[in-house]
Amino acid sequence: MAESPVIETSGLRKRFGSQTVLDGIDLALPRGSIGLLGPNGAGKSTFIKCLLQLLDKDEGAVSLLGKDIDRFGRETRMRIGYAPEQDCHIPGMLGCEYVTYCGELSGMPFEAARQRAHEMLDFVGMGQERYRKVDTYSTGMKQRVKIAQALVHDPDLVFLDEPTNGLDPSGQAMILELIERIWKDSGISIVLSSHLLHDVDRICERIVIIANGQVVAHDTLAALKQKRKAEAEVVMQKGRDDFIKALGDQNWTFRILNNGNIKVEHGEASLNPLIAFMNERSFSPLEIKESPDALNELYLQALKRGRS
Amino acid sequence: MSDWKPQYRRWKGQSVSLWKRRFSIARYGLRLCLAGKAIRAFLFLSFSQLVFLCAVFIIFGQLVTPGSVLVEWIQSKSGERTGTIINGLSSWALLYPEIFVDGIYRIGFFFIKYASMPLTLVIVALFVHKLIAQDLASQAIVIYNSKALTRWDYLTGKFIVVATILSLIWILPIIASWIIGNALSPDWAFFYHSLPSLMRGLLVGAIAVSSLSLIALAVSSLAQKTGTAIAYWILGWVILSSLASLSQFINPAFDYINPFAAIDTLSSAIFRMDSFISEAQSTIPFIDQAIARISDLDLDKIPATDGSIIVPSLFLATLSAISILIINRRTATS
Ligand SMILES: Nc1ncnc2c1ncn2[C@@H]1O[C@H](COP(=O)(O)OP(=O)(O)OP(=O)(O)O)[C@@H](O)[C@H]1O
Ligand SMILES: [Mg+2]
Repeated sequence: MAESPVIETSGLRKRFGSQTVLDGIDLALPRGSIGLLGPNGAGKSTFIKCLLQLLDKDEGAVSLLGKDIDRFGRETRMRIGYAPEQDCHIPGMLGCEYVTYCGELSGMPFEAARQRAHEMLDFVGMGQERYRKVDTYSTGMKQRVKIAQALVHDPDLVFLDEPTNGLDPSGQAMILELIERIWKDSGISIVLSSHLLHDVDRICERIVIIANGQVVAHDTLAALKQKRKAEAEVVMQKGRDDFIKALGDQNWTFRILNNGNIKVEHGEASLNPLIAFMNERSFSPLEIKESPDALNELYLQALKRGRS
Repeated sequence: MSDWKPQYRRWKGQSVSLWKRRFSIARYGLRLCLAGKAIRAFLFLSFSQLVFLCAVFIIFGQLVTPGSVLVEWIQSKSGERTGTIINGLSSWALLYPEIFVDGIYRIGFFFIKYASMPLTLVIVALFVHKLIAQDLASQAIVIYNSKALTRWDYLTGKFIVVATILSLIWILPIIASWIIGNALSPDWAFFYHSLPSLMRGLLVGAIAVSSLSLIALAVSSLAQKTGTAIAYWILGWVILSSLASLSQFINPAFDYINPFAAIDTLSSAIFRMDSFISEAQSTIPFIDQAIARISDLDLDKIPATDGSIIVPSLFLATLSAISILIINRRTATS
């Protein structure tokens, strides 16, 4: 069966005054775990909000789960979960009440919502704190309740906007594991927005990098990692000049870096030919470093573009 | 926690309808707004309107029923002579039920607004901040809008909350006292002679509840913090009523900028107390002397109709429209 995309946008544009925050986003994302990566202020949150109609888009068309949001926004959102970036609890409500209420707002009958709320609070690892007012929660608990509230009505697509913000490393690892399970165990598509490569790198199968309101890169994680440049950085101490000469004879392009290391464009899929070449001529390098993968590089470029 | 094993199960249930979702907003909102001793105390006070009206209607019903418990009790207490007077009076009243029955219900339902207005001022001040201001301050509105709801569904739910509470003040006493008064009345004549008054009371109640609810929602959506909502509500009335008092220099109609003044005039026009009194005068002999004797009421001072429906209606409608615009602007997403 040909899978239709869960998210499809064409020419999505959003301006705040004179600032264009989203500048013509065209995307078609299939089911799966999708990482939305971009530096601060890139427009990730704005993108998600436009999809959910929390912000009115200025131009373009969006369809979620195969339905146009301008026509079926409300019905579509019944099958979508959203954990916003900022706090959004309802003051005075207990944790479990809050999640139950969110289930009801998404169209669950009260009893089902209450049962599901407890299940989801178990799922995100909340204990007896659920019987306390949400206002009194720590940042970690608030993040968990936000995720529970996004999942309570069993959506088909969940948007999580920076769910690891403000968490300690073990808390981050736990939330990421949880998110990974949502997709792996139950096939719910997730969109995880983050400015940390590490987060999305770990659990997302597909990555969209946004910078300055544009999609800089979009592919599966595997493909992006494949696209590494055929380059290596060689650290030499003895016989460095001979090595440079030998490289010239071999017709490999190279350049000498500021730190004295030699960057070789070997043009091969792996380092093996380079190593064989050095063995033959008995050069003994101190270290051969593979170039950083394309994902990292792309992200660094995006960061630079975001700053400029 | 080492024994924590995330387990996700899918939910395969039937979703409820849109109106159910709106009602769950209303149900939760009502629970929130009615929490607190002060508001319960004042709502209890507003039930005394109901008790008072019931008492009036029941006593009236008993008085005009020859041989009723009340009449016999009075006779046994004060002797044969008072009993005869009462019997005379009640047969006189039953001669003209269209005046007496209609009259007692009309007067009761007409004057109840003078209790409802101050009660509305106080009671709304006690919960106005919990309507929208709180959700704006805590960003909870984002949660509502990200669910299977639009902003208007959310506002519908909130409108039901205020309208329900205001109906407890404006409409419940009228309906309940009418039902109780009629159930304990001696004669079917009561039923159809009091029905027009009920309709008038309900109409005034509906107008008051809907316009005041919109105003309360607008005030609540204007506030950034929860405390300011209450201040805005009180200040709003102070300002509107001081503006209205300028009407004597500008134009009498300007008085209606105060919604209570507009509701007051509309209710006078709907109840038509003036035509009721002149009808009573023409039907029943000596009534004007009787009125003159019990009080120095000047008949010309009774609120007149003189086509005064249009201007206050326009003012109320404009105020409601402005409220909707404010609510729309303040809860808009971008
Ligand atoms: N309501 C608003 N009014 C004006 N400008 C806004 C508004 N919301 C966002 N912006 C601007 O839009 C840009 C993108 O913001 P957005 O929140 O989408 O970034 P982000 O990618 O989520 O960043 P972060 O990683 O910091 O969350 C920013 O420059 C921000 O200043
Ligand atoms: Mg963001």
